[in-house]
Amino acid sequence: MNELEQHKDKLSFSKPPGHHELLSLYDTYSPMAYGVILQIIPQENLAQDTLVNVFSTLSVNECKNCAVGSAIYIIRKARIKAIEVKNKISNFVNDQIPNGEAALREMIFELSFRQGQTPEVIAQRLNVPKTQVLKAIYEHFKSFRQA
Amino acid sequence: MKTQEYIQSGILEAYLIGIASEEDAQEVELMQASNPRISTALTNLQTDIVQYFNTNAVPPPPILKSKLAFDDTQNEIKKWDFTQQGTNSKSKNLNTKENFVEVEFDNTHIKVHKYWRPTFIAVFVLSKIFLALALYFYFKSDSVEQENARLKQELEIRAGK
Repeated sequence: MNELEQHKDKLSFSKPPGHHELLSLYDTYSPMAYGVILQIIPQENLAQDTLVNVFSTLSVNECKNCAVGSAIYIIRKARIKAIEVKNKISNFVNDQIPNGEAALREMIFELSFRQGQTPEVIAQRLNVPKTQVLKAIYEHFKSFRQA
Repeated sequence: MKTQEYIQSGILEAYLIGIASEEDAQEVELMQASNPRISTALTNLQTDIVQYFNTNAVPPPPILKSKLAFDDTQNEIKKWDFTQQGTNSKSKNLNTKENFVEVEFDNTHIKVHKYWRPTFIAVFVLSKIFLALALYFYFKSDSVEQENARLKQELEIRAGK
């Protein structure tokens, strides 16, 4: 029996601690995380790789003990990973300021959440105060609540 | 800034979705701890934001789950890097070393199946026997040929007489 065969049984059953919790988190939150990733990276293959990467690098303890809850933790993590991938494949930034308040709100959300720009950078780019950028994000979620 | 204004400023949303700066995030955490209204607003907002992203949820292909299960066992190997940081983390991983198979050995010996030993001895002995037989028959045929040649010569001499 060679070395690999000797460790075969050991390997197949030596799942790291938290493996079942991880799969349980995956079952609960993967559709939401995949939706977040697809918003940022529309290419399905890349999005799927990113999703696997999000959950394979996820710390179960950190996720469960996160002050803002597991769902928000996973949304943040999915967004960060997706933006990392997106920045590797393209750096396209639309600088055209749209007409209308709703379109501007959508653009601010696009730049901040989907393109990873900070409110300070967006404010500078759009030549508006930072408070207006944050207010636009508030209005974006408010319009969803009212819908 | 009044509490209501603070709640409606958008900073809580920015904090929850992870786009707030480090300073703003710290400020929200302090405010959350000190102001119960902000804490409640933040909790309600968490639900709204999760609901918002759940409306855009897309079920991933089922095969990804098995890929994740496989990746999980390979996690430590994949995460390994050969930078200084990786070298430092090597010492931390020593405790979990028994979970991994050593695929590189320092010694130059190989291990083979136990039946190789009698097989090798049998082949070796048979090869020696065949070699001895081959030499025996070669020299025998050679001596027979020489004997034939000598007898032929004798017959020719006798026939000449």
